[in-house]
Amino acid sequence: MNVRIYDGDTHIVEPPALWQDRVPTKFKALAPRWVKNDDGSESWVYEDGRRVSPVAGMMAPSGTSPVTWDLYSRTTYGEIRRGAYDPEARLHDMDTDFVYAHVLHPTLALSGPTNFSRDNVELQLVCTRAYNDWMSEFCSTDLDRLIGLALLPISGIEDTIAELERVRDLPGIDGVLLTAWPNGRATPLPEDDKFWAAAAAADMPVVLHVGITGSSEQDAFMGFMKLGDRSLVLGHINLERTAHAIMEALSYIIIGGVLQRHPALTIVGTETGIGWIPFFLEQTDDNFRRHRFWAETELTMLPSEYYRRQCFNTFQVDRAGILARDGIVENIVWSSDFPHTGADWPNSTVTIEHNLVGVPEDERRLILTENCRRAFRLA
Amino acid sequence: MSAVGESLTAERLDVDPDVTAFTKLATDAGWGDGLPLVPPTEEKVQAFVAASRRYPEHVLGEIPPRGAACTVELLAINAVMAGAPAESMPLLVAAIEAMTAPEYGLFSQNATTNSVVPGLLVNGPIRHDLEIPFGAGCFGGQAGPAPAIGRATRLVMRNVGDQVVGVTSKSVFGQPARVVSFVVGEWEERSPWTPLAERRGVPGNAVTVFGGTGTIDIADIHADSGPELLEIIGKSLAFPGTNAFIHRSVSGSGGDEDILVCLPPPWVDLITADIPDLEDVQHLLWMHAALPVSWWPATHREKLEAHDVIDDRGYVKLLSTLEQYLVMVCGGLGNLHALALHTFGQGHSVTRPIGDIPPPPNGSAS
Repeated sequence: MNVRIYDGDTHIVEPPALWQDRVPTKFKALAPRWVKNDDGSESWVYEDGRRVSPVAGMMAPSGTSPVTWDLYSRTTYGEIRRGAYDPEARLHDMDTDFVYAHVLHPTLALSGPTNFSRDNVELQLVCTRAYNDWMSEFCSTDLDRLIGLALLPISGIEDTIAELERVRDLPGIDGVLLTAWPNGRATPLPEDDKFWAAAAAADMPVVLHVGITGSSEQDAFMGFMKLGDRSLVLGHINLERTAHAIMEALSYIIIGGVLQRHPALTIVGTETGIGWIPFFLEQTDDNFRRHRFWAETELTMLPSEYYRRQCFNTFQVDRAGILARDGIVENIVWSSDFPHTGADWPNSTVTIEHNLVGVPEDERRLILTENCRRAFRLA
Repeated sequence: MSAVGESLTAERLDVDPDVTAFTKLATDAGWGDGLPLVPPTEEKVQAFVAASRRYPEHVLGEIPPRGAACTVELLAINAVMAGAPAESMPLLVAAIEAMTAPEYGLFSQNATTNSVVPGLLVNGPIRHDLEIPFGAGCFGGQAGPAPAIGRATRLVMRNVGDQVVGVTSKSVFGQPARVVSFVVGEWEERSPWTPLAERRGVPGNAVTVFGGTGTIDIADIHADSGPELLEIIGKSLAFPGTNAFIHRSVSGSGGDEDILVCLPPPWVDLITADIPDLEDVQHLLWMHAALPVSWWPATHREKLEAHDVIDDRGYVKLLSTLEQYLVMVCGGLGNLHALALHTFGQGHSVTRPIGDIPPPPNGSAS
C-alpha cells in the first residue's frame, strides 16, 4: 500500500500504576489501584474497594483468534499485549501492522470519569487529569505517530472547559473525548454552547466514541452482564456497531445549530461505522426541508452541508458504507479498534483491501491518510 | 471461524539467521531443495501475508499428495524461503488456487512417474511490475525474480504437499523446473492476438497454470510462409512416445490435454502475414500434429485401432481439438526457434485472475 495509514480509532489499556503514580497523596487511597490477588488473578480496585473489577480478558485480544475470546474471562497485565500500554511496544505493533499512526482512546476510562467515581467530583477531576497527563507522556514518545485524546470531566460545563483549556497545550494531545454532553449529563443543554465555542477556539476536535454515552448505558451493560445471558450482552455490544448513539448525538449537534454557530468546530465520531451516513443525511435533509418553517431553525444550510464541512466518522469493516461513499469520501476515516475486538491486527492491510476494493487511489489516500490528518489538525 | 483477528500460527523456532546455517538446518529437516533458503522470520512472513491481501489462515487449496491445506501463511513462509519478492504474493495466491482447482489434476502431477511440473504463464500489466520474463531467455537464464517465484510453488509442494522424491513422488527423472518451475509472461505487446488468459475468460492480470513435461525446441531455417512454418511446428509436436498418444491408445479419449506452443515475434509476423486468425493457426497445428498409424509397432497399432482414433488419411492426431493448442507469443527475436511443452494429461490448464480480492469480511464470523 503506497500511503501512510492513519488509524482513526485505537485504544490504550491503562497501565497498572497510571493513577497511583500521578494523583496527589490524599487521593491515592481512592484512586484506581491495580492489585494482584492471592490466586494470581488481577483486579482494579476503585474508591478503596467500593468497586472491584477483574482485569478483563477481552481488553486487548488483538492477535488472538475469536474462538478463544470470552467476555467473562480474566487476564493479567503479563498476558496483555505490551503495546496496549507501552509506547515503544505500541510503535512496534504498528510497524507490524503496516500502520503509521494511531489515534488513542482509553479502555477502562472509555465510560468516562464515572469510571473513577459516581459521586466524588474531586476524585473524578484528579483522575481525569492524571489520565490526560499520562496520555501526553505516552504520545511524547513519537508525536507524529501517537495521536492522543484527552478525557473531559462530567462535573459541569466549567470543569469541562477548564480541562479542555488545560490539555490543549499538552504535547501529543490532539483532541478531546466527550463521554457525556459538555454539561456533564446524558442530555444536551443550552449551556453546552460555551464548551463548543471553547473547543472551536482551541482548535481541538471533539471526539464522540460510538456516540455520547452516559452512565445509563453503562448500567444496562453491567445489568446484562450480571444476568449472565450472553446473547443479551452481545445484543448490547452490537448497538455499538450499528450507529444508534452517533445518529442521536449528531441530530442534536447539527439540528441544534452547534455547527452553524461554530463553523471552526470539528466533530469526530469514532467506531461508528459509515454505512448509516448517507441514510442519516438524506433523512435529516428531508426532515429539515419539511419542518424548518415552524421550527424557526437558525440553520442557513442543509444539515448534510454542515456534516460535510465539520464532521468525520471512522469505520472498521463497512463495505456497505464504502459502496455508498459518494458525497462523504472526505469525511470517512479508516480505523482498526486495536487492540480491542474490532481489530484484525496484524492484518489490517488485508481488511483495508477487502473494504476498499475498487476505490481509486485518490480516494484511498483520503480515507487512509488525509481525512484523519485533517480531522486532527496534523501538520 | 474467520481469519479476523488472528496472527501467524506457525511454530516459532530459534534459528541461526545466517543463510548458510539456516539452509543447512532446513535442508537437513527436509524443508529445502538444496539451494540457499532465506530464514522466514515473523516480520518477513507478515509482510508477505499483507502483500497477499488475504488473511493468513485463508485456505488457498489442498496440496497433494498429503492433501494438506495451503494457507496464505504457509505460502508466505515458503515464498520467503524461496527468495521471492513480497509483491509476487498475489500471483502466487492465484497460482496455488489454480493448481488446486479440481480440473487441474495436481494429485496426479505430484505423484506421477512423469517429469511434469506446474508452470506459471502470466498475462497482464503485472508482468512488468514483477519483471516476469517474456523476451529472450524467458524460459530460463534471464536474471530476475521469476525463478524465485516459481521456486516458492515448488517449496509449497514439498513442504505443504509432502511431495518427496522417490517416496510420494514417483517421477523417474524429474526435471530442472521441479526446482524453480517456469514462470513466463506472454509478450502481449508483440502479439497480434488476444492474450492467452483473456481467451480463456480472464482479462487483465492473470495466471494460467500449465503442467509441462519439459521444453522442446523446434528449429527451422527453410520455411518461407506461415503454412510451411506451422506444418513444421505441428509435425514436430507429434512423436510416438508422448503422453497424449499414450492416452489415445489407452482410452481413445487421449489427446485430452493441452499443449503449449510458444512462438517468437519474428515467426508470429511470418505466420500472420498469411494466417492472421489464431483459430486458423491452431487448426493447422492440430491438423499437422499427427502421425501415420503405420509408424507404430503392431502392438501399438492394435490399441489405436481399437479406440477408433485413426482418421480418413490413416493418421492419428496428437490432440482431439484445436483449442487444446495453447499458443503464446514470447521469446527472443532470433528467427529460428519455437518452443513447445507437452503435458502429462489427466488434467487441464487452469487460469485465474491475479489480485482478485475476496468478498469483504462483513459478517464473515463463521
